[in-house]
Amino acid sequence: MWNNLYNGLINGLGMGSIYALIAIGYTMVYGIARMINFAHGEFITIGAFVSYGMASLIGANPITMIICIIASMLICAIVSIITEKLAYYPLRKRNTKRITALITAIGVSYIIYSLFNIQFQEIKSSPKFLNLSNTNLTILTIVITLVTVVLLTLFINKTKFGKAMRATSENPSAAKLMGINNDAMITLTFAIGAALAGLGAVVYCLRIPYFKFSVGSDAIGLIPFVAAVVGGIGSLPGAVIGGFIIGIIQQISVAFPETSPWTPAILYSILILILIIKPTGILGKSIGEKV
Amino acid sequence: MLKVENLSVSYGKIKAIDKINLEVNSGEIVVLIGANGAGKTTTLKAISGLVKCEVDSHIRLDLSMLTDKRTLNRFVGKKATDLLLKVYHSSEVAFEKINSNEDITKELFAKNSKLNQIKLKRIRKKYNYFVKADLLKVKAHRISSYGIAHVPEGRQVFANLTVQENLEMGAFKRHSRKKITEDLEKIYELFPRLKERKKQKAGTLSGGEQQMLAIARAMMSKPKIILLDEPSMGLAPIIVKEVFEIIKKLNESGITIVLVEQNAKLALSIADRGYVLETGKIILSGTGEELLNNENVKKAYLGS
Ligand SMILES: Nc1ncnc2c1ncn2[C@@H]1O[C@H](COP(=O)(O)OP(=O)(O)OP(=O)(O)O)[C@@H](O)[C@H]1O
Ligand SMILES: [Mg+2]
Repeated sequence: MWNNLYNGLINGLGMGSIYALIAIGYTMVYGIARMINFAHGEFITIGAFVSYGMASLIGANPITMIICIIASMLICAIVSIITEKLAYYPLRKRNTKRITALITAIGVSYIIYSLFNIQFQEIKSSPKFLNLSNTNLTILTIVITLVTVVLLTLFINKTKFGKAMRATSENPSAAKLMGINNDAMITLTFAIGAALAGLGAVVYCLRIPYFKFSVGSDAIGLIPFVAAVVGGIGSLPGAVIGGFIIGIIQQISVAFPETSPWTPAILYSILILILIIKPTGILGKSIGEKV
Repeated sequence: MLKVENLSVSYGKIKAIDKINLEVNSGEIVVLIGANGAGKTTTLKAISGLVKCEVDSHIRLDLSMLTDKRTLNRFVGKKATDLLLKVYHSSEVAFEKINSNEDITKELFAKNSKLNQIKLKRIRKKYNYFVKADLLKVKAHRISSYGIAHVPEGRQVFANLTVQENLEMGAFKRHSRKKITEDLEKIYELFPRLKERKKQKAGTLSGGEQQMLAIARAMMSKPKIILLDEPSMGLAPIIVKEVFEIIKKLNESGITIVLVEQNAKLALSIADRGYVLETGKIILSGTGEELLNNENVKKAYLGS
């Protein structure tokens, strides 16, 4: 019993910090472009395959892990910029309804999913960058997430472009008058979100022995999105808190054979419950701090 | 310095402004008055690129926008600026010379042999691109680089950013940190209440303070022209007076003002010239005094 709880907690903290990294992308894109980027999960797949590909070229050890992380973040950012320019930007320029962007994002998601499905059908074994115990791995993952969150917070609050992102997110037309290019800010946000998902992908692969083309859409799926909503979509600390809450609940539920099969039902019940109690999520505000 | 020609804007089927012409000269305070829905805000938005204008509308800037080194820099680059200023001492003279198409190469060669006809052509082309170009074709986020700042209706400060961050956003297009810091100090001198509240979120300021912040934010871009949209809206008379004092001060410091106001009497009393808008058309124009004494204006807008 206690053993299950302990393992659940450790895994929960580990998975939670990964969910947090990915949830940040959902929340930031929502904060600035007011859209749910349902294709965001595919960056996990892209990140995992980039890291796998790089590792099979340069080997798998702690040093190449850093290179693989950088490559994964970079490629994810580039792909997100391309999809943003090709699919979302034209919609934004035409001032379409939000539902259009939502459906488009789902479409983009399926396109990337299918590409990977066609190209990579076999299961890949995750690169063995590190040889750590579960507890140490969890500590490392938490540290990575916290450092990332601190850096990102500093960027958003202290730098010129971070402030401009907040300005755009709050009042795009006033931001324009300041000379801020809103489209550039939105692109930047997409890129940052995707890069964090790329980082999350590499870290996630440290926890799993195998992965395949559906790693982003099925294995991780919409859980980080749920985390972002639970934390309060649009809020950066909310995404982090939501990530940990969802991660811990999920992993504790999985750790007990009695509740394990019910895990998704439990997670989504909690989502619904939190949203009934606080419709804007834990740290969400109806109007306000949106990055 | 700014010329609006044949400007029309429609929102769907509603024609908000219909073929209006107006002109703003360097150093002036130009006032736009008109009833609710006359199209005043739309006119300002058209100038700053926030709304789409119909074909055949034009908004042009002229040489008098180029009165300092910084603006010249923006238009032709640093090297060319230095060179031109060395020869002609003022950016305006420099550009007038280039633009007049006379052969100025001799003069330039005497001081610096590096500037040849080809370079000159390139400078002229850049100049034409920037200044002769129709502002309508310039994207909204570039307008501030042309020396135009817009204080929008309803202030539109960034509520979740601090007062200081709002001011920094005003200087978004500027690069010299040192100069920005200097200007911040000057702004705080002019608006001591903003200094006291510089770490406070702008959303927590009173209406009057937000209006001051919106004006101060616009000043941070070092504009040549400030477009002000109903700065007195919703403010107590004493604060309105303060705001108008600030506007006069700005104008005295050389900034050209385009002011939209419901408070016609007050606005016309500080105006050099004014235009009266009615359902999207300019029906009257004249000096501030002329309009104040015009019978129709008195009846419709001055309540007497
Ligand atoms: N975004 C919009 N969509 C549709 N119609 C608009 C929009 N903005 C303004 N209008 C219409 O255009 C006309 C001019 O509006 P505008 O805001 O320019 O008037 P205004 O002179 O600034 O009025 P006020 O004194 O009330 O601020 C009005 O009839 C208004 O209803
Ligand atoms: Mg108006």
